Amino acid sequence: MSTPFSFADQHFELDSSGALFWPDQNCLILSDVHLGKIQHFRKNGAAIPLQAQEENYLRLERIISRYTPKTLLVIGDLFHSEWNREWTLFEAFVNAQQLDIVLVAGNHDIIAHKHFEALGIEVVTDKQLKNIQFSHYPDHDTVQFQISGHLHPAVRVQLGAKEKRTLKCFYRKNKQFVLPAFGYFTGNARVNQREVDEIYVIAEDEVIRI
Amino acid sequence: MIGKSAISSYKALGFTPHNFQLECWENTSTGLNGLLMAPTGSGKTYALGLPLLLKADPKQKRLQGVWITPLRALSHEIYAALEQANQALDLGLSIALRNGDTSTKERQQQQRQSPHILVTTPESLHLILASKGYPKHLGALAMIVIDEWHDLMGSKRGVLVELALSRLKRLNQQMMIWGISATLKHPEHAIEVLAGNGYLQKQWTLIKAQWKKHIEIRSVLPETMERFPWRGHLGIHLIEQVIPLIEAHKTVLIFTNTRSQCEIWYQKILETAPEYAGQIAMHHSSIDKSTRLWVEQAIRNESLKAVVCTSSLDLGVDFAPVEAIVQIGGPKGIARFMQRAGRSGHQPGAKSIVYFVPTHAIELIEAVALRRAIAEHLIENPTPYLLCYDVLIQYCCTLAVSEGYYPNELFEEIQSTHCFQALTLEDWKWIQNFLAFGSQSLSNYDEYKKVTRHEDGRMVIENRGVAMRHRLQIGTIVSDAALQVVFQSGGYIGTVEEWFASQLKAGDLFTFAGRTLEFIRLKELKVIVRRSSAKPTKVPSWMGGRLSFTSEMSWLLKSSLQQALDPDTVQDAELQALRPIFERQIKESYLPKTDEFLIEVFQTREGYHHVFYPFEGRFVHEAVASLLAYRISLLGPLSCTLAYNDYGFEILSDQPITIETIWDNNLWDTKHLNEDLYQSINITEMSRRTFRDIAVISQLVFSGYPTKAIKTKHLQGSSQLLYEVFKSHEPDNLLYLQSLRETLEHKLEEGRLQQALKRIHKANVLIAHCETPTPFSFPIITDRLREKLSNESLAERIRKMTEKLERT
Repeated sequence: MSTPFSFADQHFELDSSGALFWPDQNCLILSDVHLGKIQHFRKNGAAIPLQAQEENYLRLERIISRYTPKTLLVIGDLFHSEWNREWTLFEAFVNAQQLDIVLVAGNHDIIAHKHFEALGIEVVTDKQLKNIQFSHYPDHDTVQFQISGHLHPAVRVQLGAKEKRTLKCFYRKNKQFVLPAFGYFTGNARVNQREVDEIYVIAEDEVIRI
Repeated sequence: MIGKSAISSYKALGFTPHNFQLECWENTSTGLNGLLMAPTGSGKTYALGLPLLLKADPKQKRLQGVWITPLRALSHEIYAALEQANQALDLGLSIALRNGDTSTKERQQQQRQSPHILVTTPESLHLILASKGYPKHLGALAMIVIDEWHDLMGSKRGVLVELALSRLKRLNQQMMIWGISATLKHPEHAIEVLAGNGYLQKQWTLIKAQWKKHIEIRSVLPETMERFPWRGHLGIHLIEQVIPLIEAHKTVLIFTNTRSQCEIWYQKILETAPEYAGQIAMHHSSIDKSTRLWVEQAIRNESLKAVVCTSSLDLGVDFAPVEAIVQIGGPKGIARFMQRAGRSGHQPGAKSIVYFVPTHAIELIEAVALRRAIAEHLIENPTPYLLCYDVLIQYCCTLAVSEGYYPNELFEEIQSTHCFQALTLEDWKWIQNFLAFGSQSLSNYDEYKKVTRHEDGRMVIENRGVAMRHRLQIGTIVSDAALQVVFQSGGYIGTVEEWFASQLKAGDLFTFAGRTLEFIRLKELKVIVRRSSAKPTKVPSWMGGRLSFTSEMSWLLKSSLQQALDPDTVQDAELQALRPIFERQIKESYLPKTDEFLIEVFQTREGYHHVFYPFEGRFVHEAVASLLAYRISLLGPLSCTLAYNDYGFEILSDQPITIETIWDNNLWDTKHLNEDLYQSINITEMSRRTFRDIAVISQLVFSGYPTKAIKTKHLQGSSQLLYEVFKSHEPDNLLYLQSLRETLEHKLEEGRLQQALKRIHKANVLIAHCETPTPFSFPIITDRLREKLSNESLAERIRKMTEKLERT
């Protein structure tokens, strides 16, 4: 399910997967997928179930079929680390898609750009669409409206006297909007509720403003 | 032979031997293994230290004796005592210390030129097993001593000891094993765990020190009982009466139950008696090591009047100048209390004096219970861990890093330990497959790399990165991501947990290690601060450290209440002081006897209160309360909140619950207990926390190393995430299953829970319909930390909380 949201006089949909849909541009925006992370861990001796890596592709397919966007804009950390064999899965996924993919490179995207470009993915350091700048790293004092990722934001929500839960969230501070991590096997960093202007938490399949 | 020379040696050191020491010397002469039960300060170090030294041959340049202690501070003491004897007796042995503080250079030195005797910790012993050539290095051991075994055996560090022993026994058929423990209720059980599966009784002996240590408990009572709060948890209101106690003794240790309570007490003492500035100090496990060592030294030098501390000073270390102990709040367990009491009165003939400072009135009963425990020598046995796959996986890696191992050969050796006696071949194969292939079947596509299985079946770790990370992570003590607290100008003060640091804003003031600090910023894994003279607003608190009654304590408490009922036998000052409160309790309700189960029912503006008193401790109450509420809710709609403390629990609902229906419907039944617990308590949440330790111990996540900056190469992961991944993708993973089992066995104390339910079911029920809250119920019903029973969706609950926040 999604929740409407306006930012920089533009209309968006906040999806409970952590993605952002921009109808005007027919563009689906997401951040911090961290593909290949499980294989990377396994390569270094941590036996994380291999089957779990398919989850990211299922999520991507689900959301693409929901919005059928023209462009998929990934604002950083698409692939977790060095090249590993999950790349072949990624390749197969990209080849099956009928859309343009743009990657705004993040700190984890250390694989040579030519490998992405060989798959028809455009790799850039930032991207401007209408009045909005897209970059991997957020800047809370930005003068221009900007949408970023990188932080994997989450908030701790009090659910009762003793129960608290950490939930992924979108947040806005000044002209900066930050997306949660889309990836399945990704951690979170807590944001301080008092320090930001708007927070939208992902509560299972809903997005709620708190 | 050793017996005689030990006697003359001991006399040469200027002491007269005690009977238990003679027994130890005799039995070690005949090559028996054993367990010595003796309190600290009784001379137990020499009882087994002398045989350790005398068995070693100075001409043979190999390691011949090992002494294992759980604490670094303790290992320094043992080392000093052994070295002293070595020199005084001119034995010509080289004795070395090896623990987490030992430098790499020293360690390599020890490896090249073996000392004769090594004083070490379980983790450091495993580090030796992780180094090449260990069979040679450890192949001439004549004797190994495991100190404070009662403490080790209740933790996963005990499993490390069991595994190391199984390997050492294989390398040294003649090696003697001796444990030292505090007085336990069931010492045979402690021997069984130490000796392992299939132990031969005739090879083991038990020696008890007939050492009567006099412990005197004096409760600090308020001047008038009327002024005594019925609830509270810090005990600060009695501070005026604690100050004269500090004055009256040379050195006093003030034990608190949590680190934040420790910080608060330290602050308050200085506020109340500023003249003590510079003469009191603080000691807890999050304070920088060098500061802790400084404090320990300062106690010995008699340069401190008082030290406010936590369980970090519980064990072993002997400080002669300590004349008295102040215990703030109930220590919740007898063993812990005895250990703390043992910290004082080390001068010959001196008795240990413990001042008990209750944090609320009813807690005074705990002083009575403890006094009885001491008189009756009742010390609870810790529950050893069983089938710790996480520790086993770590151990297999340890052997794979050094010499490699053959799974078929090792299986039997592993099974010989108490912890793994029930390990099945199937599970063992699963573990080997997990190590070699990451619990997948072999495929080209997978790049899993950890342990390599050679053609002849030998398991070896070849990847240098894996080996290095393994060595850094040996051990079983897991703490929450700790951030270092450092001054802007440099200088490390200690650590706080990440979640505390994450709520700080620039300019926030907090008290830590006795100083007021101003938070500047978070940089990498460091909390940058500067000193401040303003009044602090925050005290860091650390997770864990919440204590609950042990079952022995719970039983004693009930019988102490019974004693209060009988006016002819009441002697304890605490019970006399509590008289007005008991009278009020009896007037409004009942004072339950040991075979009675009290339930109080009353109505206030908040709703219908139903307060139950099993006296089983907070953890059991938490489980019983949730279970009962869940089962009641199955009978009909129920909306309620739950609260609990060590004495009882409350169900507060918007409609009255007919107590009879609980019995009529057999709601205390132990059948389907696990299923109902899964439904009623957030077991997932609890086992997620258990899994964190398991993931670190089995090295599924690399936690880094607190003081060393190791490049983690995109390998930081959270165990929470892993838990979810296993839950949905590999629910038959043994480590995941272990987290569920440990939650039930160790966190929920399933065994105790069953017994508690049976007892409640059989007890004579007293139902009191009260007009107002009673002295017993008051601390429970005013608890603000309440659990709510709810079956609404997550989104619905968040919306409600948000609405509530907006209204206030």
